Amino acid sequence: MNNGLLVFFGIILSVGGSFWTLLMAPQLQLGSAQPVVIEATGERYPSPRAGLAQKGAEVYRAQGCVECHSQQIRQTGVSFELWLAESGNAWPQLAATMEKLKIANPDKLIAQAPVKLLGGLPMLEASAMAQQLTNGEAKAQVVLATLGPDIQRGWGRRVTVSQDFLYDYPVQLGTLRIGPDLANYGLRAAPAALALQHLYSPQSTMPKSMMPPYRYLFNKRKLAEGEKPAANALPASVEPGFEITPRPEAEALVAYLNSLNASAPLVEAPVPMPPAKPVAAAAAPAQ
Amino acid sequence: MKKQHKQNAPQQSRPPGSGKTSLIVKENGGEPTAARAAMPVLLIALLVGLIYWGNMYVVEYGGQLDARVQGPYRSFKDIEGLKPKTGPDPVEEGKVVYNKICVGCHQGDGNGSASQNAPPLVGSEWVLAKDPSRIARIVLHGLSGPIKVKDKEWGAAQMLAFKDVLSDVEIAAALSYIRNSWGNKALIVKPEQVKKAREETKDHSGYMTVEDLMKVSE
Repeated sequence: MNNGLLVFFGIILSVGGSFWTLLMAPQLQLGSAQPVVIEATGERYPSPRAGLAQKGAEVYRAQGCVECHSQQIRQTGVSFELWLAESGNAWPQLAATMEKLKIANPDKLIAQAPVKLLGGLPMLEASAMAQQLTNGEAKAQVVLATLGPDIQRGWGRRVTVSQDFLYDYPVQLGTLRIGPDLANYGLRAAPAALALQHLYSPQSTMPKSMMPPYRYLFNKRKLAEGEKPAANALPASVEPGFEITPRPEAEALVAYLNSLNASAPLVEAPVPMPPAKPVAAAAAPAQ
Repeated sequence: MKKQHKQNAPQQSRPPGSGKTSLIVKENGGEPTAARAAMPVLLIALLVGLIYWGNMYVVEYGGQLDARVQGPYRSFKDIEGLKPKTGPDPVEEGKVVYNKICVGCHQGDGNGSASQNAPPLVGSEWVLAKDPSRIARIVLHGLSGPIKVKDKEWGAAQMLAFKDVLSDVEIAAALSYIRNSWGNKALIVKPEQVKKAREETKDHSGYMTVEDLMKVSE
């Protein structure tokens, strides 16, 4: 072979180059990631899953849920919203300022504080407006809004980042979305009984669902005349005359699904935090 | 093998002047062997273009190789820029002005000082008035008593003029501070309001008196 040395070093270079950039560099960058303390709550994130949920992750893997469900929220960008956090007592002045800023129905909005006044603003414009609205009494605030189709669908509040998967092995990101994304299922979780029924007979809870039934995760037994089904059985309407109880795998799977929550406000992925209604003000109308 | 290679070596050398031929078929019908040839210029250009594109892609989307930069964000500065910027807080700025100028007579707790003829600011109907044009005038031109504050007559109340000492912004900040401290709660004062008062009274000479102030509608 001619040029053997050249070919040899060429192979070393190309294999070494891709090894370095595709394996070593990400490993050096993210390999030592540790749980972080969330500033707003003081909690560590992420925390390891509880035992049952950890078992559920294995069930999720074994059943191939990842073939149809993804666990990653995409975000296309951010915009800013102007919120009125507190309306104070000087309503006429506030309404006049709001009219000057071309905000429709100022009186109605002031009464509803905390309320969103405007959306889709650039940062500078929103801060300038907030400063004008904030007088000794009223308090206006700029609130971050995350954008993207996934967020619009209500699948999440922010982009998912590597930190969210710190305790996942293997990481089951998924590549197809035949079913909905599950990265934040725990946030919108149905009651466990309903989730179990969905596993047993998806179309009974979601008529248009394309999910196949996972009946082998349940025990089915014919009930004798007048016999009552067990407490943890699915509702009798699912299959009248039968007692359908979840096997441990089904229970674990539901526990795992409920543990899915990638919405912690991380430094690398801020979460929209609109001003909360003060407790006293929220209770006042009830009196 | 090595021996053969050496034997063939002289025959492999390209004839001088031929830059393109990569195969040399030996005249005696031996096997063709590979030799060096120049790469086509187009291929080189394509490779250079690809490498350039790849590098630019990393520069654009690599987040400057910062592990904290992910998703739609391009740099850590991007993410830091998401924190809402609040402008200077007039109440906080006013505190600085107050502690430099006003605190001598009106005291740190805003209760004033009888011995220095300085009425209290806490709960004062003058301070908490909806329209700040009267207190703006007091700060601009000073005050000569008597003045009634919180149902108490201050006959010898005396205050210096600050129109040449403090700017409109500083006066507005100081007024915002006294209107929103020590339990006081009123609208903050904007520099424009002080500016308006300054223009309206630019012909006024001497200290303000209560009569002068009462001419201003609230």
